[in-house]
Amino acid sequence: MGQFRQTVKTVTLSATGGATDVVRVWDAASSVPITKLAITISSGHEVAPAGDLDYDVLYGGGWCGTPFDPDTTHIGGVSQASGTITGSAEIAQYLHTDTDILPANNAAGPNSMRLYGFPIVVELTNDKVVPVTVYVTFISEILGTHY
Amino acid sequence: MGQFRQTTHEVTLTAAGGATPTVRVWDLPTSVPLTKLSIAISSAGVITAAGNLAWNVVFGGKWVQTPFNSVHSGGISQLNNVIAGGAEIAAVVYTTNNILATNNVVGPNTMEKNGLPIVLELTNAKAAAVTVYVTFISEILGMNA
Repeated sequence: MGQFRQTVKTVTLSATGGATDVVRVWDAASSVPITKLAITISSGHEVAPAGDLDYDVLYGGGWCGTPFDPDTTHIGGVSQASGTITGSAEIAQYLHTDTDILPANNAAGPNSMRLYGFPIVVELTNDKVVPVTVYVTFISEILGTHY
Repeated sequence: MGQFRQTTHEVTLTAAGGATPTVRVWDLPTSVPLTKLSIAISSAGVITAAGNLAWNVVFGGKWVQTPFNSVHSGGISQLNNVIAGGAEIAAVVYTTNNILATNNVVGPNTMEKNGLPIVLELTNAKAAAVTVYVTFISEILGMNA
């Protein structure tokens, strides 16, 4: 059993049709492989009816700016799971779990993943007419490597 | 191999059609992730026919009032069924080796960053009240972040 890590992203999405009604967030950078990935979301008490918030879990894709920078952009990727979160005054749920071994995801630079680029990304889409703030948590086990 | 924890809830459900034939119980709060969750039910000798006690394992949802000391609603069902009857019966109703997120919360109706309750809903279908015992076991994971 290795060491686990957890990172939480606070995500604010503008109202439907706004400038940032679709936002991507990602797991922290890692220079070693990881496993036992779990991604959860909390609606922050703002997503009421089902269908107000869509999610898409993506592996891979490209960084358009500085990798992992909060102000950068990520595009593409391969969808692993997608859906809409169940609404209520508050809700917390899993979006995705994976016990496969996942590659290191540190990257050489924008649009150049090279040897070690494998982003783990969640794309969120707000279907509400008002902004919402939600919380996305990434948990995984860090695997040691021996070259 | 990390440290394990175990908590047992005694649950009394009124007769079907009574005030509280459906009750929710939950695992303890934790500030670190979990894994190897196991949930068991002992019928305490009062569930004698199959179908008399239904259960539903739920992750997430919300606390309506004080977290871990109130009413819980919603959540995503992981598995549900009825326990087999017998003069006494004990059954493991759910296990998972997935990582489970921390479940400590900020307050009622506000999970925010770290809330992911682990809940078991029980429903009594008998014409008499029953008391059963629900046990949650899990391994606590160390953090390095």
